[in-house]
Amino acid sequence: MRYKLLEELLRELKEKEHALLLGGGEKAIEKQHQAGKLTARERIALFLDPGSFEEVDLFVEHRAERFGMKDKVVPADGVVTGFGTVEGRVVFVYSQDFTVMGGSLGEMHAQKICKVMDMALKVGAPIIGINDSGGARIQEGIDSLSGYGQIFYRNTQASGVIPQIAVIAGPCAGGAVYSPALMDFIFMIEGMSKMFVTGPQVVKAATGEDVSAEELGGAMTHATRSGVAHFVAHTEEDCFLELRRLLQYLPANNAEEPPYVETQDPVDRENQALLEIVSPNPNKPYDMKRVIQEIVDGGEFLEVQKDFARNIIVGFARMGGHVVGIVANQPYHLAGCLDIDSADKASRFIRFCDCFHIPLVTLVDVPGFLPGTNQEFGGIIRHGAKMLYAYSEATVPKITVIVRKAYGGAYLAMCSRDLGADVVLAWPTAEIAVMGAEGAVGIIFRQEIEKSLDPEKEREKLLDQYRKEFYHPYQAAKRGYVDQVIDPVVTRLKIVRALEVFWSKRESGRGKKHGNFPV
Amino acid sequence: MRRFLVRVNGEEYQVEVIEILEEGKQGLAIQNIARVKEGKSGSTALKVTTTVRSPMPGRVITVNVKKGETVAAGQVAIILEAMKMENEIAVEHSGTVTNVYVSENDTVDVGDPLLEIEELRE
Repeated sequence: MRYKLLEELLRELKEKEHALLLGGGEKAIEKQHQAGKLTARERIALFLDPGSFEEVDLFVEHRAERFGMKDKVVPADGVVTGFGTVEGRVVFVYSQDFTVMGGSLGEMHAQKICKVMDMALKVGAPIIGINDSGGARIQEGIDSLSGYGQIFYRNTQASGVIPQIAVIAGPCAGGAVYSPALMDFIFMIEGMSKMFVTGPQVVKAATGEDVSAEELGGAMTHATRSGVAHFVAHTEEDCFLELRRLLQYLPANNAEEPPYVETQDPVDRENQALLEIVSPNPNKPYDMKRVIQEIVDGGEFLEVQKDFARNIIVGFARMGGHVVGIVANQPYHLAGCLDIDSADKASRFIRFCDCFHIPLVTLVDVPGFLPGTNQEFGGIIRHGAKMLYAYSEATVPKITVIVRKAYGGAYLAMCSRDLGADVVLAWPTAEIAVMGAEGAVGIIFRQEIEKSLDPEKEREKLLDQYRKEFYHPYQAAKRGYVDQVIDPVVTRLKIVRALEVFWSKRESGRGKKHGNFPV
Repeated sequence: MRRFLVRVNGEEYQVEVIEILEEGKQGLAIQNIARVKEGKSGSTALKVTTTVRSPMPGRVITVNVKKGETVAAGQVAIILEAMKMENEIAVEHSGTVTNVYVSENDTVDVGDPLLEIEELRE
């Protein structure tokens, strides 16, 4: 026999839940769909394992009174929060509900986000934030600003402890952009995501510039020009699939190891293809991505920021089942040189990998730093310094393969022995020198050439001499800067062996508070 | 600076178009798009003019195309020696080469124009 009162209470609960789960109501949901967007809850359902979502704080209400807020009902205060699983692994999630007051962030909305962030930190599980919000809830004044501040603070506290990932599935403007920016990865969706600190109207008012929201802060802008976005998808469905794919490479927190996946790809598979991909003529470009695909498990490589600073390639793969972070120069673009943007891109990736025990595999073919006033005025000195710092600071296993060129400061910056590389391998095609022959001979032998009876002939002779001296890996190997000169076909095997040996390496810090990372 | 005829709701305007380049950006190709009158029938086509620019400072070692030549997207038009590399500068859009600004052995800086390519789209 059931109690009648209990039945009534249960009916009341169901009714309340039903109303709240509709968010801004059917009309607003239809509008969201017409804009080509999924609702906050549909997104969570799409992303998490089916039926795994546990929502918290459904009943939370705002307590604002001014500007007509007193009797205003704001279901779930415009954000859906909770936890669930992705391929059985726990993640915490919040998803802003644009159908409720435009997903605007008020005091309680922020408190809900902070609560799941705190939970994620306590448990040691990734936090995923789905952003679709008009910005601060102006009616709540300073309380909504404070909300942002509290989220930023938590983003910073969680940095390096749990992976933090932002999906921009609508507008994300003003101060709101800085929470994603403090997180580890940002996903954007073409035609849907917009991110800017000041929108087109403010830009127009302040500078007179006419710029569309898409051009100012759309997915392509941030993928190609600003470097703010790490992944761009055509649709929301693709975006969440890609996000699930990324999570397969990440540990749940900094005390865990990244997920090992047994591979069918033999560790000792010979890389014959490399002999054809890489021209032994150092002046001929080739596609470094093909080199990466050849050596990693099953050719699977998840590239990060693939359209930004294309002269450097960064991303995740597995080798012998172990997750690795790959950093590689791309001779196809800007000759694979280092510049402001590529140094920035690589440094942030290196630091992410180091936070989460992901070993670094660095493939080097770098002619140097890009010369020019743009670079110098833009601060290539302080940006380039980031790479030196990030590699030197990283205590994960660091394996470096010098494929071809390795010149000057750029050689050092690409995880050289001196920055703490555990194993340095070089192909016989490697050239390791302070600078190229033309430049070097011009400086060292300027007087000899000028005094010579046949300066051109003398120059040629000296160039030849310089090339013989330095255009190979053996000078570096003689001093032990290179451990082994290897046949390219065994590159995969050598890297995996090095990874397995150096996995257990121990390096302890200096016990300092934290270093002063160049920014 | 170039002059274009622009038609808005049947009204024709002659406009001068000044290309604004962002210094140091690698946008190799800057496009000018204008709707032009074609022939006597009065039919219009979209004329897309693309300027291919140097992505970095270097020296032109090969120019594979001539003025008036038709090129296909992806075709390597110029080889630029820079940063110890023979960099292949490919055309991003198919069309006709309307200008070649450089010849072999020329030294170029970032953003210097290399080629102009014009494409008519119906």
